[in-house]
Amino acid sequence: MSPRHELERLLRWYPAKWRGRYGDEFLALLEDRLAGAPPTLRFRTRIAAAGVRERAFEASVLGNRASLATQRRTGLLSVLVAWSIMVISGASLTKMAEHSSSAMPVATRSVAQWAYDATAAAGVAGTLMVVVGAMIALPAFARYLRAGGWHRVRRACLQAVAATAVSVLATLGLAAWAHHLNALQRNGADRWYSAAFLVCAVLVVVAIALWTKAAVVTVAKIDLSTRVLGWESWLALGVTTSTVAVVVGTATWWVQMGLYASWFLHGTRAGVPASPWSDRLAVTALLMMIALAMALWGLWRVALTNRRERFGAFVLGGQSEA
Amino acid sequence: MLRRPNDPSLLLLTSLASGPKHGYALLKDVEDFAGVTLSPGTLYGAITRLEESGLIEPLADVDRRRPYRLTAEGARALKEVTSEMRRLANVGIARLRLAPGGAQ
Repeated sequence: MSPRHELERLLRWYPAKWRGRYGDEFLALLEDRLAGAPPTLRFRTRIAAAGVRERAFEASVLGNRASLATQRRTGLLSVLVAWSIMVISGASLTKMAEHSSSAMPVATRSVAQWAYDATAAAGVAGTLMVVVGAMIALPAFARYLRAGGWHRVRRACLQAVAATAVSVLATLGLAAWAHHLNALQRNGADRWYSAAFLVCAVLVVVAIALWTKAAVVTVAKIDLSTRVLGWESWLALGVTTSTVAVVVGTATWWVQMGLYASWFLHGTRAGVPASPWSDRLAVTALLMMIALAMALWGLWRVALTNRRERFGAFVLGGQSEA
Repeated sequence: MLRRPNDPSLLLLTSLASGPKHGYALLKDVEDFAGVTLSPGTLYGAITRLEESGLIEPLADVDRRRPYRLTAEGARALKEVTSEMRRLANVGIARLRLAPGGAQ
């Protein structure tokens, strides 16, 4: 691959509109900077990061380019996407934590149980708030459909419905199969069942991701009133609080399991000493942390736009953005 | 924008105060007067934001290299920020002189 072609490939990290405006001169700068040397990994990474940042500006996740309403909407959608990630990681935690309370010594069971129950309660509360948020936006969605907007959201919505249908059918099939297996077979002894379970889990994740995408595509197009956006802002605060509670609850549960029943985290025999580290739990926790960061970012964005709307962009303009 | 002395946007405005420059010339100039090496991504991020804010404007490109120059608004913004920085620096210097064992 020629150096020029390699640099052009790097430009793909940037949004098309930006490439159209700055692409040529940016390429010239990269060529001048490299002076014929091949781009290092660090160089590429920094270009990629700058491109992603530019995309974030274009999507109004960063910066003040978009209107206040759009910025607030983007903040709300960040919280929604964060919650979708939280649902996926929460489902993974639920599967891992099955029968965990019976694994703990009776004397130390209560803290782990309390942490797990609090995590589950926060999960339910957050999901309910997301459902309420969707219901509040329904009238605006109906107005949008009546105005002929269906063709603009049809693809995203139908993809989500199709993915849901496939995942429900697969889950029903898996449940029917599970009835013919014993507990040992259901928990890893039957490799075919385990593989099918994994496929089902992936299908559910895809369905959640596609519903989230449909929500993002739709909310970006429908006209939400200031009042509705205000309610959604409060719900975003609630969902973010639930996200914090899930992360704290999961961390507490992990610490308790690591201290008193670390063998459970590895599925080994009771009482066998084992490391409190679990790769699967670590991936789940990482997803939760990503979700938490996104939710906090979204909430901060919502709060900032609310303040600007109340006190005026001029007053706060200098304080908020670098 | 323009909050810190090493803010890329402020460095670019300062560089353009001495006349129009294209991307590579800006990088070199900022390196020379501030000792800061901006990455191409950071440079063009700042150029994008400054152009959107109307603080700089593009000129006709020469062999794909497009120079930029300060607008009147950009010059005004740079003057305001540097005046404020000078005021703060003067306060700091004056207080250091008054402090026990401070610089004389």
